Amino acid sequence: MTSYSEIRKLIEARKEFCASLVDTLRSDARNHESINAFVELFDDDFDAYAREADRRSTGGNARSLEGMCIGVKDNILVKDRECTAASRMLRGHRAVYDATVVRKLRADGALIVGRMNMDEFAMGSTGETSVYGPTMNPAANDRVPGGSSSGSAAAVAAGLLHAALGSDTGGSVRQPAACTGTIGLKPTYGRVSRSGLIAFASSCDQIGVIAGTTEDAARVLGSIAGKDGADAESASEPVPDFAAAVRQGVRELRVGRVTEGFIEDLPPQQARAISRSAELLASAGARVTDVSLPMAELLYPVYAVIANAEAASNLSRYDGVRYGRAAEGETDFHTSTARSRSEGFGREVKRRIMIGTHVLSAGYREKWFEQAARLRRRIREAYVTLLESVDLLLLPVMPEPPAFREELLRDPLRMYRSDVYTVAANLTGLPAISVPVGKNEDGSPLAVQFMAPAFREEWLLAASAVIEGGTR
Amino acid sequence: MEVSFEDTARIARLAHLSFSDEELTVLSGELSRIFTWISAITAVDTSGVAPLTALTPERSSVRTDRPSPGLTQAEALANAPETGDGFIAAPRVLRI
Repeated sequence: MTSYSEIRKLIEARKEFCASLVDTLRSDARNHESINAFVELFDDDFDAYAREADRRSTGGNARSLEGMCIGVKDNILVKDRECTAASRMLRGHRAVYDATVVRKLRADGALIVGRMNMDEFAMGSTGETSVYGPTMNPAANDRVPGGSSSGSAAAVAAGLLHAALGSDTGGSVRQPAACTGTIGLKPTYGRVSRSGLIAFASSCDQIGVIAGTTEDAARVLGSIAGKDGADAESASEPVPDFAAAVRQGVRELRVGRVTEGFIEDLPPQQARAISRSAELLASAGARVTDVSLPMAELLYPVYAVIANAEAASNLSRYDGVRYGRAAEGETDFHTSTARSRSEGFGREVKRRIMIGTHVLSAGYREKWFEQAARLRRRIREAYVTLLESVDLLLLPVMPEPPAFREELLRDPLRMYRSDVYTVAANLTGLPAISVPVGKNEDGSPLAVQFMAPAFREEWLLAASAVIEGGTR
Repeated sequence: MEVSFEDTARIARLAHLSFSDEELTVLSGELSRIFTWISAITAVDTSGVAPLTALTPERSSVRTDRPSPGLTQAEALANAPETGDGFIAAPRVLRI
């Protein structure tokens, strides 16, 4: 597929480009069906889109994302299309409105290519809990593609899309990016509207971007960011020129390389990836110091209580009455609801609803939920304070290389463990990015993570561009 | 930190989920292991720390009360498993 920077050159030269582009999209998607990244291709839209894009290109009035091919995770609403969060519960559910992010991308000229496979209700780190079957990893055949935005990452990694939207509640954009060698950006809480995103844990959920290049990630973020009346939590913070940030460099930026405070020793390759990234940033003019990761042991436990409590509450809406699966032949509300939910939800979703229900139940709420919320304040203060003394934190994305397929399904605790370094950004609301830095010795992708102060995604993009330039 | 079979059955009732006895036994083991891991949080002294439940510093914003198109009746009913006379139909809640 033609890269998006090449497409911009064609647009500048007022050339037609889109008819051949959508032909390639169709044939590439067909040739890569075994990856199982798309659950639906919106290809009935392609030809009309191509005519309009070519008309605009040749007429000299192309929009900022004209010709950019973007997939959306199957928990983001596209009007009149099925949207299921990869769950049996929502099979056949059709969106009656567009998510704000979809509306904005289309207004800027992007093509919404299709909906992408994912872990059911965005709960999973492997892309294996989907009702549509597992997503494969084009960057490492025997490994999982990471989750929960598995299809978004796999399609970008295979070159089937320029970019894709995912959602990140505990690492669900950054982990699949790390597993597939793509860039995964989780913006600041409030930076991007969540209107039209199927809720998981509302105080942690954020729509994010997976892209093949930092520049493409910046372009997409620039389109979807901003205040939206339909998401009361969206922020009125001004939206900077993210594409310019990609070229601004890291001179004088203070980078805190995390060298201690990990929950256990980092595997040597991960440690080398961090050192290599620090060297690249230092040689580009950044000032690198060593820091300790605050409250590392408590990050996942606090997240597990809060995210699952919110999930149990959010998912209580699936009662088989207003939408979603309804058990057949039941005439009593309570029996019908319990059967609808038990038939509709998969194992991982039920497990998380159980955890969340327990921590909110009478007699346990104070011990678990209230305590986690108190610790969340301490965690937030610790990271905000640390990010006053440095501009960026450099840390791992995951404690291990991408897992072998099916390895983690049998061991939920190990799957949850893969979230330990990504949940800090969700508990604190801070922005973070996963950036590829070459390969592990076994050939699987290797990545590092950066975190920044609230609404400083520019610094994440600047650092990502430097790493990208140094490892290409 | 044990989550017993009885606890697990109680949580399932609250969550409107039904499980077989074998499933409850497996879940009880899984929940026990998970809560043992996350019980690290119960050992920390947090007296004097207020719970953090919202991340946005902005006050809840109120938008202008201006009429705008919402869902049509057909759209609102489109995904309901059962409808009748323009309403969403629900199974009986109370038996009198």
